[in-house]
Amino acid sequence: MRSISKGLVAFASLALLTSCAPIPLTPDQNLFYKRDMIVNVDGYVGEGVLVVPKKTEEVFKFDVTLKGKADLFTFESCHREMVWEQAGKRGFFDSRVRVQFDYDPLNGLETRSSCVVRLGGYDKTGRHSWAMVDFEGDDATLPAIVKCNGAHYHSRGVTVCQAKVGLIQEISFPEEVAYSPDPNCPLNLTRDSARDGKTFRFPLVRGECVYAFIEKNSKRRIHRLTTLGYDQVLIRGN
Amino acid sequence: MLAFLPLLIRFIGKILDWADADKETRAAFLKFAQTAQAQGLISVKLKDSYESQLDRIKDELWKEQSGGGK
Repeated sequence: MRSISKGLVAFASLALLTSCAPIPLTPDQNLFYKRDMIVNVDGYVGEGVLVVPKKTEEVFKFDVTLKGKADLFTFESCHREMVWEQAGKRGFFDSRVRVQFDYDPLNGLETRSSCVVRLGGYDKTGRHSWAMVDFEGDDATLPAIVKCNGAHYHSRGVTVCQAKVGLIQEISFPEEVAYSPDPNCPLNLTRDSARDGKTFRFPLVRGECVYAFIEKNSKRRIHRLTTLGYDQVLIRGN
Repeated sequence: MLAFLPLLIRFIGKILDWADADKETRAAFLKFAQTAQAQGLISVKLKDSYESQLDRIKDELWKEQSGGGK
């Protein structure tokens, strides 16, 4: 009788364990999923996308919270790629995985022009998550008013806008600007968009795109807009 | 003891299903991670795109300014 009850307890515990196993997801490799990792860089927080203000110290402290586990964690800039397996830590009371590291951009290579950081967290059960981070710098200082995915804010020169592909976003500048988008990332102005060379209302293109705007007046200040048009949100059910 | 046999069979079945699903998800994970790696240097592509736009725009503005543009 005693061994039966022991067996029952063991069975119940194992059944409980197996029922807690996450249901595997199979994300479609052909879809561009919404970036939704929580990224904290030096106290500035963004969900999926973030622009880090300019600062004097050279090292950026990243604290990333994933939506799944970090069976594989990737970091990519225009200069380096870093890959960690089984990265991150899980809190005692918090089941979310956090990955913390320092990023010291190499002067000249990673500090000039566009050199976004792309983060990827890959989970064996398919609960992947991603993020993109751009950095303010001296090269892009033309301010703009941005209306992106429900947020309405002032940008100092570098903008990252994420929304579902095809949704209409808007960026407006204080002065007339010149632009010449990449053919793969057309900036198709909507019918109701102003044609004053200052305000641009456009549907988001699928995937990752970057747009440069230069002021037509003698100051020639630049604004850098990076857009992410996603197909779907990865529903993880956790 | 025989009364536990169906439960035991179900339990073993569940473990086997779980192992199969785990194998599949591991394979899917590896494929996904490899594809993500293979999509290749997006940061560099964005940088190239941005810099060539800047060059084009500066060229156009210069042409406009010097009277040779549209």
